[in-house]
Amino acid sequence: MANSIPIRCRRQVLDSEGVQRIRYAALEILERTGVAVKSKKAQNLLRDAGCDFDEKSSIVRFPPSLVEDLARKNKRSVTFFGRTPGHDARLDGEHVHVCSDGNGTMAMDFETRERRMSRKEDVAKAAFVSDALKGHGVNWPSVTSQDVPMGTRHIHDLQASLENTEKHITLATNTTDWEVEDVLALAAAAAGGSEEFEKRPFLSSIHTSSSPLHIDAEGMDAGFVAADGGMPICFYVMPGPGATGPVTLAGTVAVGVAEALAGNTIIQLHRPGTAFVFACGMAVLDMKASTRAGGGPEHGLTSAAYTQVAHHFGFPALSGGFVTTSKEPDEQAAYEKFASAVTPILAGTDMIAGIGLLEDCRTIWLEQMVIDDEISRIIGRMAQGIEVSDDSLALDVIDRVGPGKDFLGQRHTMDRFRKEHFIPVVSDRSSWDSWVARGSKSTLTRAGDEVRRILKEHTVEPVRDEMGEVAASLIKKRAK
Amino acid sequence: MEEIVTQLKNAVINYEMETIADLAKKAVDQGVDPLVAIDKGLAEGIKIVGEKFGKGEIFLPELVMGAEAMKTALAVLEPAVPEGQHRQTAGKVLIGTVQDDIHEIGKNLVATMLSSNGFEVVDLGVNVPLQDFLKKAVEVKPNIVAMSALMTTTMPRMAEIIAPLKKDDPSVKTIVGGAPVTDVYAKEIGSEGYSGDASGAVDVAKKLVG
Repeated sequence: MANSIPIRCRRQVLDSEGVQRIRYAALEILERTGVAVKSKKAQNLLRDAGCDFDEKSSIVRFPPSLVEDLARKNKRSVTFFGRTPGHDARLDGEHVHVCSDGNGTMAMDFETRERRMSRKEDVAKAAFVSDALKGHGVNWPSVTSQDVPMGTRHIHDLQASLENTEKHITLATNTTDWEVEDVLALAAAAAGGSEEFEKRPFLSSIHTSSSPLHIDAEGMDAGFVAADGGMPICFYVMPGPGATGPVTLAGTVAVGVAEALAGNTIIQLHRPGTAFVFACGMAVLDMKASTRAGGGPEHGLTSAAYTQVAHHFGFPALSGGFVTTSKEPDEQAAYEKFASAVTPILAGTDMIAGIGLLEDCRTIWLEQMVIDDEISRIIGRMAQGIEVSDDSLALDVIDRVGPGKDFLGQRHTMDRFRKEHFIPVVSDRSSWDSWVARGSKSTLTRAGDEVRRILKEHTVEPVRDEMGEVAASLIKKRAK
Repeated sequence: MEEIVTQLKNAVINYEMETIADLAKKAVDQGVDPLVAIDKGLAEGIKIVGEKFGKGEIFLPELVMGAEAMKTALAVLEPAVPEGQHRQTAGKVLIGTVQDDIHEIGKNLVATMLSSNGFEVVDLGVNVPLQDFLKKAVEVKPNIVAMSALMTTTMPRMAEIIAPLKKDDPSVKTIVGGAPVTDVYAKEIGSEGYSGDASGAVDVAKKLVG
């Protein structure tokens, strides 16, 4: 089982009436307003299934019964398999898996301290560091390789990830059908054959809508190939309240749910039983800076609400969170990341993406990965709540210790403190003088020390040699 | 005979505080030199536990359990040590919480840290009057007297102890600590050592006896 947060203390943001109203709102959007679907293949599938299709605008209007029937076709028990069995992430609605995120284009070079375009080595290092993190469960390549020939980025990104993590990899650089074919070829090589891969698909594929209410041809066609190859589909919707969605959070969540339901309808018509994940990142447009405010408190609220509606329909959810617009790992980064992560995690989203990146998911800092891992474990402790049992009430221990003594020397303490207490990795809880004696190190410096330790001590099980050979030949074929 | 010494060492490493007393009795019954059992068994064991704690591999509960195991076995072995012989230690520390203050967790942690780093610790407990500190210091001749206070109202008690203590034995060093105590205050009252937390106290003590 992969690292995950068990949800014992759930905090929903919608009551059951709220969930129902968003459900009906989404169905009404699909029936009345419709979605522009650009893929010819998808258009044919939808028309044959009884949707109203307007050739000129490509707008499809969905009968609610069809949408709800196909929501039930989704594979109910979804596991994001690891490359090795110890890292399987079961999306069972009871656990939150923290996921790295997602195709940034910049990197803070860990050695030279230069902010520069991301390279393949950054994809590799981020995968390697996240593989070692105790709070992290699923790898989405944090950045993309830009020091490689055009047309080969998807191959390099996947190769660097497979070589540096044993965890499940969810991919977003395969946006065309031929790129997905390459991904499946690499997956088969790494698994020892495509049949082996289909038994334990350790890759999933991210496809997106273009909010509001538009689904592109290329990405959808790529999704068909991914589904045929046995990969779970994460359908990522990103309407932003006030910009690409109504300014109100409920309205934007309804648009997001409508888009995801449209995506599922298309995928299930193509290949019934495909594992389909409701994915989202619905952050407001900052009305002054004119940027996406991923670290705002609204982001966590929309993710939590979307998760509740996804669960209502029987889908697992992948939410945005751990986001900040800050430019460095500073105070703003810390509070924005906490604010955008805590709400969806406590609402029980199945996966939450975002760790390691700054500038609204643009720039990877390895130190930030370690800091975000700490935040995720803090929220994980909050989600664990307070267990009340004979054992946790510990009346016999209290009686044995008696008034005025301490509980440190009790086996009850030793056997349980690791589960009962959050144990920090980078937070410094020593006194002033001990902190000074160790060099008065800032949080960022301590996180850097932890990154260095991981780079020195961590190991990853090597991937099959065939994968490297297939990657080399594909790179040769695709390089422009 | 060597085997039981190793068993004592492992019993400390594995925090077997419930059963270690029986093991220590067995060692005495078998005629094992109690000083060997202490130095090569218990002290070696607690040294390993202390090192693991220093490296962050284990945490306070384990350290305290290891120290408790050692303390339990020491209670059996020490009375068996022949008159005039002494165990090897990094130094001797007399520790206590000052008068009118009954807080002891911080003081206990410091005592545990010191004993797991090879110091012999004589613990006076809490609410210890000035005279008791002085009397015991004359009796056990410590290298260091460590005083704890949790309240701003009891902090000045530490200052009152230092001068008469030095009068009796000019070579004795003092360490002060507790939530309201600062390094500035320590200097002001003429204490050589101060640590803001228990882990730091070991380095301070080592420097003072080194």
